[in-house]
Amino acid sequence: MGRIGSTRRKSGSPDAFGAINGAFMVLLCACTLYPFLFIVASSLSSFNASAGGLSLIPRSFTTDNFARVLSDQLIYSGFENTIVRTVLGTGLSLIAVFALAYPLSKKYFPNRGFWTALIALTMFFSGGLIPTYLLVRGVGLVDSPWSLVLPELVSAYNLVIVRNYMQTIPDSLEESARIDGANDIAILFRIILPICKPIIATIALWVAVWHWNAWFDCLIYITKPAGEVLQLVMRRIVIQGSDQLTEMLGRGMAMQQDEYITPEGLKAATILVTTFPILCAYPFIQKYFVKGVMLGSIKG
Amino acid sequence: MTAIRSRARAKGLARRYWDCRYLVVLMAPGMLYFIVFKYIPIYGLTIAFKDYNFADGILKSPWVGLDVFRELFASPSFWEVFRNTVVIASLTFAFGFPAPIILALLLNEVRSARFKKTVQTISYLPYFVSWVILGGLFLQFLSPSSGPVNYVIKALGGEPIFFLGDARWFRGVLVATGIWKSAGWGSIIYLAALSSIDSELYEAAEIDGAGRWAKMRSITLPSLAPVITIMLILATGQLVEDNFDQVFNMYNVAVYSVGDVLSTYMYRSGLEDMEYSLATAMGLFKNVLAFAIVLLSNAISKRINEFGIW
Amino acid sequence: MKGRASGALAALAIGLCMAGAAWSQPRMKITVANYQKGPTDPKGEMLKYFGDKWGVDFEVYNIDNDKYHEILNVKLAAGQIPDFLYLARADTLGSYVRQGVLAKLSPELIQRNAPDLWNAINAYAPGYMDMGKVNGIQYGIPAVASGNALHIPLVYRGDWMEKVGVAKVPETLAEFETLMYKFANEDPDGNGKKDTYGLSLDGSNAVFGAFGLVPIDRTEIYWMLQDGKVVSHSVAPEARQALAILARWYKDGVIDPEFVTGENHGGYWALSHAFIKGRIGFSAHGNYYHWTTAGAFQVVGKDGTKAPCQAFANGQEIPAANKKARIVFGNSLKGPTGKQGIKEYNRLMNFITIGKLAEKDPAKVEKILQILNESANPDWPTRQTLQAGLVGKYWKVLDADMETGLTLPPYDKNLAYASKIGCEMWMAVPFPQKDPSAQWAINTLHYDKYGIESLIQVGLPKLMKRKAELQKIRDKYYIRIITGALPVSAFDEFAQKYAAAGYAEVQQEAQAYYDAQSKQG
Repeated sequence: MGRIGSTRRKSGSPDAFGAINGAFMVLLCACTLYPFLFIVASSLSSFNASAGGLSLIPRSFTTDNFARVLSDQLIYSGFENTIVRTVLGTGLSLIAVFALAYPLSKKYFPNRGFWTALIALTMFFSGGLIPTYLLVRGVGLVDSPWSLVLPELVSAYNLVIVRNYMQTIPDSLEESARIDGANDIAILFRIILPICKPIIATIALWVAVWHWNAWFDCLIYITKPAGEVLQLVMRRIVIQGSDQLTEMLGRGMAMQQDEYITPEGLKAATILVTTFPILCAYPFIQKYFVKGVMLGSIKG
Repeated sequence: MTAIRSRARAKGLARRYWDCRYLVVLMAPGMLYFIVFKYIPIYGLTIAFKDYNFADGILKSPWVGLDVFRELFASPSFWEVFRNTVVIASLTFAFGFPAPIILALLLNEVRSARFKKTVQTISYLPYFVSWVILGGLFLQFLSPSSGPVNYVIKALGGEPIFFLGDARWFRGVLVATGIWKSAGWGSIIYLAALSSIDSELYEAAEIDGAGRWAKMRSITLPSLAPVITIMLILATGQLVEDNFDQVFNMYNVAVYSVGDVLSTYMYRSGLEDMEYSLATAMGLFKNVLAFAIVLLSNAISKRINEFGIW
Repeated sequence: MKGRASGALAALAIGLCMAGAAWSQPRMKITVANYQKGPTDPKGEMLKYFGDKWGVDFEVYNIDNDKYHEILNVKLAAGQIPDFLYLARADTLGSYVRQGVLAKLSPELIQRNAPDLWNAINAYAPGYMDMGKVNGIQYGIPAVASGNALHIPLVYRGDWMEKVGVAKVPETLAEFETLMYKFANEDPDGNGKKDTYGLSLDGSNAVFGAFGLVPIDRTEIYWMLQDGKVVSHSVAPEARQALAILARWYKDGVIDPEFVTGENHGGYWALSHAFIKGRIGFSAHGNYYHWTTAGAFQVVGKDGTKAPCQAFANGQEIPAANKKARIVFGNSLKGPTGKQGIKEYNRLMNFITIGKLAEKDPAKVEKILQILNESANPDWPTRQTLQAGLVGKYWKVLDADMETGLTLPPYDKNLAYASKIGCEMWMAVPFPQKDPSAQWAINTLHYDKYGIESLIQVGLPKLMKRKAELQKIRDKYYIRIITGALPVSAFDEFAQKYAAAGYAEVQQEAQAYYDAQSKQG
């Protein structure tokens, strides 16, 4: 893979490092791609793929696993609820994190150490599930999508990282704007945030993936079926799938196994259905890593 | 005298806040969030010092001092599982922390933009696969009789290794699989930092005849230093944490002596669900330690490169 | 005049009647937390149906079954104590009593309000009702699993037996040993390589069972009575003999050296991959029905006529992996000391209790018991309606004698439909199983015989605290003794360590509990 895309290379000598690096990357891809392909194979198998060893070829092809997953009515409202919490949660979280991080990145902000410590302490000490539930219930958020957004609105961890990133931006960049009479809020939007694009993209990805995968809070705060998030619905399909037949035997219901569904295949299908959308979102975010606004272009 | 001085100071402080009133406006809603959602419920920590029961609630349950901690520390397995937690976390820290940085640096050296993007996307896939599935896969991969890893070892003339059933290898397996799963995902933050390095710097260095290695040492690494430092400090806070899902899906009775960690032990005892005082005490114990370690690493970092969390 | 007055009176009377209807019957409200396959819709049809039937307004708490206690506890902490309260883990009963969230019941109260239930439990699971007592007071009504009266399976590779020239399925430990050695040494898969074994982890239960023991359950400690003393199976002297045999087998290559990582390699838990892939020739993994091969017995088909049963789990995977492979069921083994048996799972599954808040209202407690009584209704379709909804709409009876029904479309696609419509007011009652699968296990396999169950199945407080520790020490020594890292004589050292780690006090507690129970009974 030593393809030389850049025009800057002066010598025409073969790039040994590039070749080795490329080979290593290919190997890495093979190692990391494997489990995913295995899951794809499982989801399309009418037998448990693991019983067939490590093969990536489906054991007797079927799409019944996907049909079963997509037949559950709750997954549509689940998708909707997950998208709502992810968009709302990521948007608000970004606003809050950057609004907090900017003042705290300023050396002249009064009692800066105290405020930072106050936030950083929450990384280590929290009241736990019960008092948090009492609070959320007390302010009437139970069964509201806000109960999935507000309790974990700002992560102190993300905040520290963003503040740190902002501190590396030289003050000189702001000076000309300040002379023009711009206030701090205007400077944040006009100067700082554009430079922060890569870190905004990173934090957005982190928060969005966290929201996308979260389900435990929904178990606690949401009591109505219509409010359930996708992961919760999927989780239940998997659990039901594992004991459906034993359940039927126990309930005295005739076995009706026209479809070929295996607990493992069902699980694999749910993973693909839930992860696919978030995987699709990645390339859009990725471009900010590659085309991040260069500090130098502003400096110059 | 002192009263006047403190009043003057107070006035000075108010003045300073007024001077950056826009920043205060920016910050106020966020701080309110922390106070309401993080500090109001913090009274829950008192459960660790109480004999908590539902009927009385957190506030009215009787105080028992340090009894819960005594009970926790007196449990014969506590120190063994705690030691395992710390050892595994330390190994994960030592090998797992540099891994995403190295990956990011190598990715940065890839010249084809499309190839780079593809590798990047694929490298983070394992992050989305749960340990329940990976546990079963690794069991087959690392099997001494039928696993491909041992097949290679045998082909090279070695003796097969029972990676998951041998206490000498188990921690290594945890660390390696942990890196495999999260290095790609972990490299995102470093890639973000790399993308904000001024490309002119590289051009200037190239004109000076700097090679790949020289550029990395004199431009790339110094630019990454702040983010590496902060990630390092934050990572030290994980030195008392264990990954329940990973260990639970990979361990077995033969490797309890090295692989049984706090969370798996608590899970097997079934106490987590029912004994809130004990679970809270354990959490508090871990978090106080984590806090102390982070304070220390922060202080060291500040002394070395004037950089820290606060 | 008269007409006007009577008209006014009539109007008044109607008005009073209407007001009376609204006033005199404010329905009792009962909150319910029960096992759920999925969340209940507050407007569910059966919720209203049962509400009208018993004159009650039901409110179901949606608590995910997989995280049941974790979420229930959060609700309890907020003072939301359900009236009809299911405890998913039977061993939590004592803890909830100490936490002060359960209402006191009494045998008389249950007998009076739920006579069918009382009689059914006492008839089909004698002694289990007393497991709902804590310190002599009845708090819980036990849900007993009749299915667990059938012991774990013993399955052999029939084609391998043929290959090594053994026709008879082992009945004694000695015959079993001969077969296991043949499986390991005589190349039963005929590939010319020495890559087969007799048994793996779960198979060792057959050996322990031949000594009357279940010492290696993952979560439970099994108790038994030896000369009037309550003893844990793990430290019984016979365990030492069984370990000596297993250690010898391990040394001779009869036990799969990879047994510590188990027979299952991920995916569905009940699969024995080691067996499916032809690595071992014997297994005791899962339950008997996980080894059902196609046509093993007759079931009631969708059209109500007899039809061959379908394969399930291992029974489905094995023929797919190897066409020649055949499953042969065996029975528990007779040991050298004359004992015979094999592990069965605890029959005590969970408890139905009544929340503390209902205690103030005796009528409510009685009402809940009366509702529970319906779960023991002798009429099967009536009972089934509690769990599956109205006959004709949600399901239909296929064969009442075999207690087999058919879920009607579209509900058959969604297994959580019953919870969704509000079928939440029931509990499991240990009626004898009449379905074809259980009938096959009883009449053909005789799996109702020689099951070994634990003498004590409830969660005593000291036991709960020490259990994980005791199991850990047990695992450490058992594994080392079997693999030869320690000699069999290390069993004495193990017994000492076990006692020191809390067994001494746990045994006293268990003894005291047993003595008190047997005095009462």
